[in-house]
Amino acid sequence: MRKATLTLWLTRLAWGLLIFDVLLIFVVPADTHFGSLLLMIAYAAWLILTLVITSVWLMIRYRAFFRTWPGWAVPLITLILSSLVIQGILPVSHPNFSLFFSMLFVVSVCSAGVATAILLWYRDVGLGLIAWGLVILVWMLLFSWRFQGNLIELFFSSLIHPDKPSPLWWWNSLVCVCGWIIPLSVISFLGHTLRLILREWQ
Amino acid sequence: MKAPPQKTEAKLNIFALPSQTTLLFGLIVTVLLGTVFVGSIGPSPICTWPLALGLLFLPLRTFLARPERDFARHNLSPAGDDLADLQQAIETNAKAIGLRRTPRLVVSPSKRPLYTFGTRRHWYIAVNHEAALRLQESLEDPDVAPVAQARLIHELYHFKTGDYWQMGYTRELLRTVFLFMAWAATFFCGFGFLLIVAAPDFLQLDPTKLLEQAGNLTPEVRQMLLQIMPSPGEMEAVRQKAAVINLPLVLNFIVGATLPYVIMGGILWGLYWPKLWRMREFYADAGVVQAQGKATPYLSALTQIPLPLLKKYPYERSLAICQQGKGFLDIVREWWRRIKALLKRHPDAATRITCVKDPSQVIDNWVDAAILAGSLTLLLDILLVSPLTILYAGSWPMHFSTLAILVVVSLNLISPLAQGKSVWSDMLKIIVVVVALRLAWLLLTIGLMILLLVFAPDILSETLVAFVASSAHFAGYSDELIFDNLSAFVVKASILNLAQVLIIFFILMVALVLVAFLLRCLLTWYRFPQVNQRLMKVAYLVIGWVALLLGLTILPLITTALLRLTDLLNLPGIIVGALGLIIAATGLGLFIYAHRKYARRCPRCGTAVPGWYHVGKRCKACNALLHPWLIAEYEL
Repeated sequence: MRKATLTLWLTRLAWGLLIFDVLLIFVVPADTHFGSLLLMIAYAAWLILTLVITSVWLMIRYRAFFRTWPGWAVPLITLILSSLVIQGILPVSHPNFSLFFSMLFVVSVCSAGVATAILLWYRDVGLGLIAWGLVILVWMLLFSWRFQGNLIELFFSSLIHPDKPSPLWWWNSLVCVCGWIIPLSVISFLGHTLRLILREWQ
Repeated sequence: MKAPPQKTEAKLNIFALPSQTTLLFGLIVTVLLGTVFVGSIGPSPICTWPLALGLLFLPLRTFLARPERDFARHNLSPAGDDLADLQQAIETNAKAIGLRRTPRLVVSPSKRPLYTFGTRRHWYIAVNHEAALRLQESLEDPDVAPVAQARLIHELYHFKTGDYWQMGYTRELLRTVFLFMAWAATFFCGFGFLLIVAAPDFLQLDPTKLLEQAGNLTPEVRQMLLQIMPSPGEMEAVRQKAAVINLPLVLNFIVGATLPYVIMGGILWGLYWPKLWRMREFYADAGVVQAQGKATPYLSALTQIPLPLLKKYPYERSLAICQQGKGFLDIVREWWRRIKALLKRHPDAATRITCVKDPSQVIDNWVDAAILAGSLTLLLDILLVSPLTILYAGSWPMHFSTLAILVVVSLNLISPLAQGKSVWSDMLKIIVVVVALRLAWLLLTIGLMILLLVFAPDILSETLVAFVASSAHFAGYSDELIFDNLSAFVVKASILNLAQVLIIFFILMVALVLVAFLLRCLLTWYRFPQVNQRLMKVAYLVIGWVALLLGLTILPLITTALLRLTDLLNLPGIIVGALGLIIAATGLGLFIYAHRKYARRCPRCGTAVPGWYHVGKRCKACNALLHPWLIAEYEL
């Protein structure tokens, strides 16, 4: 009973913090300096920490949704969308919106990992995720090389000119997702295998 | 109308003979896993053993995970207290038929009929909740209780025969092979195309020039990047290595290595998987009637005819179902029904009734056995020329498929021999069909080669180069592969392959005659200790012994003489051949000793029993039934 109350209280707190942070992002002017660098860093750190912690908690709380394929896709779509904005592919002129999408990108990177972990905890799909993830990676590289040109040069170009929109906008999101999928899937595959063997012998 | 009197007849106990379900299971595993394992034991263009281990263990893993997936997919839950009596009935019947554990009853809201699933140590019987309640009620009604009990025993026999795990593993094996090979084809084709598209850009890459374009880099960063990137010398080495790789040949290898498995997996799934399903039902049916000692309750369950009516008129209904016309249209209809039946997972009621009445009908006749062995040959021939195994098949082209056919046909011979039938003509017909199928496939290939040689020698040369290159140790390297004399190659290949077909025909005939003779002798070992448990094991040893003799001595000798005459006197080959001969001689000696000791003597009175064995044979002196364990007795 006490545990249920605590969970409910933490969930309400997380929702409250989330709404508060979003309000802060839109109410406080994004170009404000707060009078000192320390305060500005503290503001940014507050936003990042609270947003990441609350989103992780809420995903764990609502894991029944995130263990499904649509639930897993939501953070990935958010990641791709925010990545498009911060790389300048989707133009956002208002500084508060830019800050919002920057924060969303940070949160999405963590959320993608948490969602993958939740999915793999409940579903034994690690091997499939790695296998088909690699297929998507290879075919995207192939089509990109075929239609966008020399990817090595394009990659260097985007490193040298970070101010220009990169044609390799998909690369960051894909690497981020694969970066989560590959280690987590390996752990999940081994874990589920062990679980199945133990259950068989019980 | 007066019902004919009931009688108790001696029937063939199919459980005492090699299981057809196990045979089919073995066939599918041999085709899919055997070829990959052969590829990993022998020479192969790529390292194949991880693939072999993966294809062995991944299906096992998914097989273990299957029950929880079924639970989730069909919303299954353990049966509650309202079904305690049914669970109790399952336990009682499980003990009665000698199951080592009791399956758990689980209920589902879906309308699926009674079915079984599970792993090696966790067994489940699933049923719709309402149907479970009805079944429980039926078990309490003396009029229909035997029918309900028959349905339960039928499901329990799937565990008794072990077909649940064979089915489960086969399903996962077929699924894994299909998915893995489809994945490998998609991934490696993508990778190959990427290499083709990116290779020119990558090979022309000049890291120094690339960094020069970046004017805004500090000298330190530039130096650091230069250290990370490959040096001009390293790039040149890569260029030289890449220059001799023929990327289209790499793609050819990928497609050649994966596509046959996808297609063969599909054929096995389409034709053999339904046959495995049907076969397991026949065995479960046979189990029910043997366990109940009478066929009527189960026939009632099969035909839905009320048990009292079936008891009163036991034959009419089943005869009506089995009756067939003799007109042309009837024959066409009958063949069409047979073709459709090939794809069905459950046999029709008429066939099941026939098999219940005469269990020997479950065993494949010569046509079915020939189709089974012939298709096995074709599947193996096609899979063994895939790039993964062609190097092995090139060195030892006759081994794998010959031994597989020998084992399959030998196992199929045991049942007719036990029934006292003559197997010589059937055996000859089976081997003729097998060899004819192989010959047809070979003639098709040779004909195509000759056509290309006459009309398009360039295409033939390119095809052969691609074929050889795809199986070369460095898949994709083709700088030294040229066919100077195409016609000589075609003639030599044709002669060697046709010779192999004839050699295999004679080897198989001789080996099978030997096996049939030994098995027929073996069936007269009436005084053999614990004969009901050990005789079939000896039969398997006999088949294994002949296979060993062929595999170690005869086939290597003939293959070496045909393909590498100069290697005929090499020491390892001679040692292995001699070892095979020693084992064969020892085995034969032991067999003759045992035959003299145990054969053709009545186990009860010790009087000589002349002639070969057949089901129902009795000692003329004391009238003792010989090999009673080969007989199943139940009322029809």
